[in-house]
Amino acid sequence: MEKDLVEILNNYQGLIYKVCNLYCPDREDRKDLFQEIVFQVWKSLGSFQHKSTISTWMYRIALNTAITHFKKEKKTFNHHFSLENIEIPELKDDHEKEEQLTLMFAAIHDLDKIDKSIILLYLEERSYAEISEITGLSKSNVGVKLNRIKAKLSVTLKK
Amino acid sequence: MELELLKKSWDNLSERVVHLTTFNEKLVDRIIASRVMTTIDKINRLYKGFYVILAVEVIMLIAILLGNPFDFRYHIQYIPYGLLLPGVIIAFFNLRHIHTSILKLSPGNRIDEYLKSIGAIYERNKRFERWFGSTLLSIGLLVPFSFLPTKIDRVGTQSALIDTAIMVGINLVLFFAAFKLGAFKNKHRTRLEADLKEWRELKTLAEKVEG
Repeated sequence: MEKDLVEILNNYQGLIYKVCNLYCPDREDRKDLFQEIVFQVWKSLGSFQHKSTISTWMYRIALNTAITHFKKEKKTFNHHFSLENIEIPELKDDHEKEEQLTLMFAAIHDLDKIDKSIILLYLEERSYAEISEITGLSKSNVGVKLNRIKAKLSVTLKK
Repeated sequence: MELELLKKSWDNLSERVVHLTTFNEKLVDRIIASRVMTTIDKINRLYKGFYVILAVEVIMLIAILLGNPFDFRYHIQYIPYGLLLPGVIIAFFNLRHIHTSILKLSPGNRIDEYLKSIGAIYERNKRFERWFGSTLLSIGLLVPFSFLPTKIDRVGTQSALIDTAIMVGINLVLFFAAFKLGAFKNKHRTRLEADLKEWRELKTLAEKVEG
């Protein structure tokens, strides 16, 4: 009837990791956000009605958690139950890649939280229609915002 | 060009994180359990704050009773503070008892049992919480009367009574507003019950996965 949580997490972990990386520069914050997203996915699983694709649903939960819940009340999470198996990656094995990623995150860092979600979906090669469905913005609004974000990022990256 | 670089970096990250962790029921259990335990941590922090507040109150009450900073002339003026002091001391030791009882419990691998036990400790203290609330309300209403004799000497009986009635009225309004705003509700117990419910749902889900 429905895909279970474990399967979902195994299939969409990359998406969650990327959202965590984009919204939390701090390593511990990333873990906390990961934990909160998993919790929200688990809570929403029962009400998922397959009206949208599972990836759209996952993007919506992950971004919504990152934008609203997590930022609204800065939680200090408990780590009684060791989460040593969850390590949000930082590229250290390849200097060129590491430098590129640092540049990218520095450029995105200055964007506001909604713009961050739009650029994430753009980088994930989602269509305007999908971005609109996930963020709740109109397609034309997505287009306008995306152009502004691209211009802003170009300026930042040129510096 | 710059956006191409951005895309390239993003693709690098995507490659790296696509299958980083192998999730299983045990790991998912741990993630949810960690999230639930956050509530317990909050309670512990809150209790530490209460200890400080109650200790400060005890010190202030003793200082008032022994130092007479308000220049009380009659023994009757000390009554509200004399009543409040044992109330605060009892509250302090009760808090210590609840806190120690909670700290003695260990979550182990049975988070559901752990939450149930904490819920039971809260339940046992329900009556005491009501008593403590009523005591505070009574004392809050009595304290303005401590100053009545001094006021009578200074401004006369009628004005002193009006002034005291205003103070009592303000106290009543403040208590009523605090009550209406939910200051006396035990939010942590409600939160614990919600966590316990969520935990049970998780177990059902886990059983489904196993089945």
